[in-house]
Formats: sequence, structure tokens, C-alpha cells
Amino acid sequence: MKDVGRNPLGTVLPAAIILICMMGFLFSPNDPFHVDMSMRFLPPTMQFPFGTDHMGRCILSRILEGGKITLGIVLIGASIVFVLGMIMGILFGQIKSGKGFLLDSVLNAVTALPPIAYLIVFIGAWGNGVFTMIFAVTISLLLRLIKLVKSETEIELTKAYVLSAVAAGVSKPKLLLFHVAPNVTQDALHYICLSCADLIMVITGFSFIGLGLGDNVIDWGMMVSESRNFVLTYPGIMIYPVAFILLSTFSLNLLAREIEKRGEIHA
Amino acid sequence: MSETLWKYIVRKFAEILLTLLIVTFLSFLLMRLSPIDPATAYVTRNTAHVTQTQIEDTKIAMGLDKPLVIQYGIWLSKACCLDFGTSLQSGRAVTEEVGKAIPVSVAVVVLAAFLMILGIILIGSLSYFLCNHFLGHVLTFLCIIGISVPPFYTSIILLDTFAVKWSLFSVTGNSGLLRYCPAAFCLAIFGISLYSQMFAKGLEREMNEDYAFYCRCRGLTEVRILLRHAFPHVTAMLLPNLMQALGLFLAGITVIEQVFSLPGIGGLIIHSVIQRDSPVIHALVLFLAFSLVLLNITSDLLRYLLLKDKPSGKGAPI
Repeated sequence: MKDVGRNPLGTVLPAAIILICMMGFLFSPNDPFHVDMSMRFLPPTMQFPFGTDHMGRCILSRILEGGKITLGIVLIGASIVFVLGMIMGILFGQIKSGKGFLLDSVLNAVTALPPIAYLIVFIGAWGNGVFTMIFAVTISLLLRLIKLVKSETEIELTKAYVLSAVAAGVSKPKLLLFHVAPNVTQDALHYICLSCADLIMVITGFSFIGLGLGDNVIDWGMMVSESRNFVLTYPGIMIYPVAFILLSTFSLNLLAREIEKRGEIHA
Repeated sequence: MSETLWKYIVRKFAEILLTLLIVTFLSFLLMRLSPIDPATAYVTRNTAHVTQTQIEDTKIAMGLDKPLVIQYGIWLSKACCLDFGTSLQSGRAVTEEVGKAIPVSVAVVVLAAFLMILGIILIGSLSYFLCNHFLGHVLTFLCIIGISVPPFYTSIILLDTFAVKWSLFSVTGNSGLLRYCPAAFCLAIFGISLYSQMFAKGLEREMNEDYAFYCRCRGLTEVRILLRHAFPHVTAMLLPNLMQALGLFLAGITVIEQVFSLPGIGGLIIHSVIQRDSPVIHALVLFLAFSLVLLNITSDLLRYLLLKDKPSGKGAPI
């Protein structure tokens, strides 16, 4: 087995990329909404590092702004999900089997659908918007995470170290918080990373086909669909948003892989 | 059929009903909580001069003035006889609209599933054989990229290069199965990249098991052990996941269908969402939920049967 601390780059690099994509709007060189029809389709220059699009807007600034929106929705949703899911999952998990029958079947029933289906239901009912999205992302992921953490907790609670801890006189809250929770965190994180990558694709996909996040909101999927009309004459315009979508989903997938690998080494 | 199996089926059946009830009610609840009222949307779309009384009349005609639970009850009792009302947009029966769209989507999904299974077995075995080789790492890397590329982008590339630039196939005019192939291929790429890695990992684990060692002692060739012994185990392990992937396809098809302009449920979802066509949305939600749950059940049953049969007697590959 390889050493655990072998390659911090594996986790640090993807995390850094995601952070840069999300926080990059703070350093955007131009106003992403500024239209200048005399500057259409400029090649990359010092002022416009990625050139300009069909309305003379700075592509880099728009990408950074879009990253804030797209990744913002996903990451805010994911962090809420992580916190709530861990707490509720562990709490549900320590209920003795037999008592939680109703809870079990409701949870099974609700998680029978994949998160994307819930997303469609939400978008169907509420239309597409930034807050709808955050809400929908949270709900759709939360249910699955609760189920995951719950079943993990149930497995952990039967293990020997828990018995030893109980024998050593550890109180229940302390047991759950310091002994069970760390062992469950990893799978939860792995799940969250993978779902985030999926969600980025789904959200950009929806705004690509025209269920945009609303007027005056920039996001990567919309940029791809806008640039599609010009792709044969100016193929460069479409490359940038797609490259950033790819970069962020790829980083998230790598991160998930790295987390999974760590788990295997520990075990 | 043992008694436990029946018990299991009954419990699953109850869970299906519960899922469908919860999800359809959710769609009603969300529709009610929505900032845009369907009645208002309907009136503003169809008449030039909107008055308050008109909106009220439409509300009553659409049954939106009743309490939510009663609305839901009426819809549910009608839905049991497959009557989902009429579409607000086209005026045709929802059953007819949805019924026209379903075969298209199902064709794409089934085709995609077929491609996916083929791809998983090919690429999965390949990356098992190459697992300690340089090319194996390249393959893994490609698979991660395959998971990361949004399906809509693969479909654009496919369209723009193969159809527009090289005109290998026409953008819309194909008939028969060929029409669904590009869309199915784009859907399948994701599944192939995801599950071929799991397949390879599963093979690796099975080949290190005691029974594989015993088979080697019996002098069986590596390929024979792989095909006769490891394959069934890994397949049994992966089948439930594959069923779930089919569910994801159904949900993910919305975007792809739109790109290839196929008249499936994807297009219907988009249109009804934009037009706030609530009867169609409810029916689609029910259809999606129903098919996903059905797939889930099949996967559960398969897992149950496959794992159940394993230790018993002849025919089992061990």
C-alpha cells in the first residue's frame, strides 16, 4: 500500500481549481455585462484575455461571473446538505431497529428517485431561478445523504470499537460525535463530491436548453448556448465556458476519487 | 418462491405506492406554492386584455379554487383511470400528448442501455487487463473525463462535426432506429465511463478471491476463470446499479432530446415548464416517478434473486 500523505497535490489541486472558479469573479478584469458592439469577436488581447463575444462583452469576466453563479449554487447547496445530512443521518441511524420502521419506509420511498428527478419536479413547478436551484439542489441531495449516513451509522454502531467505547464509559453524544461521525464523514464527502459534479452538468444542461437561471444571470450553460450560433465561424468562443465546466466537474470527480482512495488505505 | 420473497414484494409494493403518492403530491404542492399562478399564466397567454374576473373564472374552470388536498384527490382518482385532463397549451388530452412522447424516449433509453452494456463489458475488461500498464492509467483518465463532460457538449460536438461538417448522418431526417443512435450514444458515454471502472475493480477483486485461486489450482486458464466465474459475480453486483443508471438516463434525456430535437418527454417537459402547463407537468412527474420506481424494483429483485440463488447447488458458477 502506498503512503497516505503521498500526494497532497491530488486533493489540493482540484480543491484550488474549484475555489478559483468560484471566487474568480473578485478579480474579473472587465464588467461582464458591458455591451460594446464595436468590439465584437475580438481575439484575446491584454484587456480581454479570452477575447470578446458576439456582443462585445469580455468572455473571461463573464466566465468568472458564471462560475460564481453555477458553482455557488452547487457548493452552497452541498454544504447545507452536508451539515444537515450528517446530523440527521446519525440521529436517525442510532434509533434502534424496529422502532424506525415508518421512518425507514418513508426514507426508502423518497430516495427511490434520483436527485435529478427532484430537480425536474422543482423546475417544473417553480421555473428556473437561482434560489429555486439552491433549494432544489439541497432537497434532492439531502434525502439521499440522510439515507446513506443512516445506514453507515447503523453499520458503524455494530463494530467493536463502539462497544469498547461504550464499555469505557463514553456518553452517547460523545460517542456519536467523536467516534462514529469521523468514520461516516468520508463516504458522505465522497457522495457529495460526485453529486456536485453531476449537478454542475445538470444545471448547465438545463440553462443550455433554455431553462436559464433568469434574466441577467450569467451561467456557463447559457454561455455555451449563446456561442453555439457562432461556433462555425468563431469556434473559440464556445471552448472557454465548456473548458471551465469540464475543469470543475473533472476536479470534483478527481477529489471524489482521492477521498475514496484514502478510505481504502485506512481500511 | 419462498414466503420471504412474497413478504418482500408486498413491502416493496407498498413503498412504490408511497413514493408515487409523495412525489405527485410534491408536484401539486410546489405548483401551488409557485410564484406564478397557472390560471393567470393561462389567461395572459390566451387573451390580449386580462381582467381579474377572467382569472377567477379560469381558476374555477381549472378547479384551482378548491383546497389543495381536494384538488389532489380529484386528480388522483382521475389519474387511476389514466385521465390526466387536457393540456392547457394545445387543448389535447394529456394522455395522448404524453403517450406520443414516451415511445421516442424509451427507444433512446433502451438503445443507450444496449450501447452502455456493450461498452462497459469491453472497456471494463480492457482496463482490468491493463490495470498495471501505462495504457490502463490512460484509460482511467479518459473515463474520468467521460464522467466530467456534460452530455449536451458531447451531443453538440457530435452534431457539429459529424453531421454538419462531414455530413455523415443528417441532422433531423433519419428514420427508424438510426434516428435515435446519436442521442443514445451521447447518453451512453457517461454510463460507460462510470461503470466500466467499477466493472474493472469488481473483476480485480473477484480474481483475488479464494475460489479464483482454487480455479487456478485446477489448472483453468485465466480467461476461462474470468468469463465463467468472475463475470457472473461482477454482473450480479453491477446489475442493480445499471438499472439505476437507466433511471438517470430517463431524467437526463431532457437535455439531449432537445439538442437532437427529438419529440420525446424531454421536449414535452421543457415546453410544459415554460408554458406552465400544469396537467402535463403532473402527468410527466407521475410517469417519471413510476418508471424510475419500476426500475428500482427490478434492480432490487434482481439483486435479491441473484444473491439468493448463489449458494444453492448445481448451475451456480462456484
